[in-house]
Amino acid sequence: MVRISNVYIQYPGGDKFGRIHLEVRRGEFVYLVGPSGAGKSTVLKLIYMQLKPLEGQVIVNDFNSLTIRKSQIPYLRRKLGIVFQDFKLFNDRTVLENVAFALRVTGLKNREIKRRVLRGLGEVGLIHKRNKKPEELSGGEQQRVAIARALVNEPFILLADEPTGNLDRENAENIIKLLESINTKGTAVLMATHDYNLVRKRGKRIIRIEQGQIIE
Amino acid sequence: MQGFLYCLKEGLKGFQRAKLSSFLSLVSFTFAILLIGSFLLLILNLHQFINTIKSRMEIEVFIDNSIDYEQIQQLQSRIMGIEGVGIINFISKQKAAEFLEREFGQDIFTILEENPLPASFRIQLMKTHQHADSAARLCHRIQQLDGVDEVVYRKDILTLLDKYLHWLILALVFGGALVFFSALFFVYNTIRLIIFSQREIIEAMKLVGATPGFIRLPFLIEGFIQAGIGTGIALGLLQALSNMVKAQFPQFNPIPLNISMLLLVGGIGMGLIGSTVAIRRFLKY
Repeated sequence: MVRISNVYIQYPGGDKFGRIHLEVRRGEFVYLVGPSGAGKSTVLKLIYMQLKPLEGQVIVNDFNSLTIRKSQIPYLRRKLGIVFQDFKLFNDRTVLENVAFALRVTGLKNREIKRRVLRGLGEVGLIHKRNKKPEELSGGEQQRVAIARALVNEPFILLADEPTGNLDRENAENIIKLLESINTKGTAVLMATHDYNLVRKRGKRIIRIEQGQIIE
Repeated sequence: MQGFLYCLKEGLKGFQRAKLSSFLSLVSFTFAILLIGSFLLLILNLHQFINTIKSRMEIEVFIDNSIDYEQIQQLQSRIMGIEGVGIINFISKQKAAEFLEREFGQDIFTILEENPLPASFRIQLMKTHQHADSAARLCHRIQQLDGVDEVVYRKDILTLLDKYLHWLILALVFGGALVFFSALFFVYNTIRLIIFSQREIIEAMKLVGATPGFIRLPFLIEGFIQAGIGTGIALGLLQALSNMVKAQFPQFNPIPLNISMLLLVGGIGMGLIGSTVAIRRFLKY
């Protein structure tokens, strides 16, 4: 599944990052909690291999950071769903086109793309806003579009980096409920957040990270 | 195939999506090709002008009044045998008088009792011998022939052209390189700025698993279209400019078709290469 073993990285500025061990099993929901700058995004970047460890290894299904070639990274990312605090949507395209883009890159047939996009938008409750541009939506809605885009490729794990960071309490709760609902259908979720209070009573596994060190 | 069609559509849509940056890119191509094309027009016409001056340079060989028609014919054959002599025209005493009359509007015989003008040959040099050195050598050889009274030519113009032509060529090559690289720099930086403004979209594309080729292709198609249209507009403007100048100076030459085609291919090449280079740094995984 996802295993980060004895990983050591160093930032260009020279800040050291502790040795990390972390595992997310199939279908699991894990919260990665820590203050800003603790290393949450770094852990996620290691998983989608934007960062390569200096030592240790990251295993994501069949992909291993020690052996993966750069040309394979897009194929790894198609098996992951990634969601960010700033949504990273294409503001010059409609909601439908945004979600479809994740499928276009895989070369799926148009009919299958349409089917999956509508299903994805249905899951996040935004079919009726499919022809809107992201700017016309609220923050919560934009994050749901980003989640739909992350889901349409049927990833085995959804990586969410502070997905509630730009949202008010009510929208944040709704996004967490949505992620938990997605998790019940079998998709593992690893959500990074600085807000411990938001997640502490949800009955899921919580991993704490501070100054680049994992404190389970 | 489906991926390619999608990229093609995206490339075309890019024009609508980013109207301002597409317009800027188009203007930059128009300006760059207009600059290069104007310079080419200048070189082309300057070259033509110099060639015209050189080809009109004539050597005039005045014939001794004492030789008869048969000897004149022999002299003509000997002159024609000299290397570098192109066209040779015989101007008889009678013809010389007609030229004088045409020039001054008066018959020589109304002023003088006899025609004092000598017969002559007007010689045009071969293209390979239109230099001051060759002309001087040739004149010297003609001067040695029996029956030749005097050899005259515009030595000063040929010497001037020979002296300054290589400096002119050097200045044009330097100026041309400056214009070409300035245009290239201008176009490349415009493309770079446009792609830089799209870096977040490119980043998001990478995160959903798009391969570098899939991300690059729409940008290349966009670059191709913008360069093609921009270059087309520039060529149209150059043609209009040429027509305007030609109306004033009929001997002015417009850009020939093959050079226009070369500019079109060069403009599109600039668009494709510029887009490829500018996007490269954003495609690293």
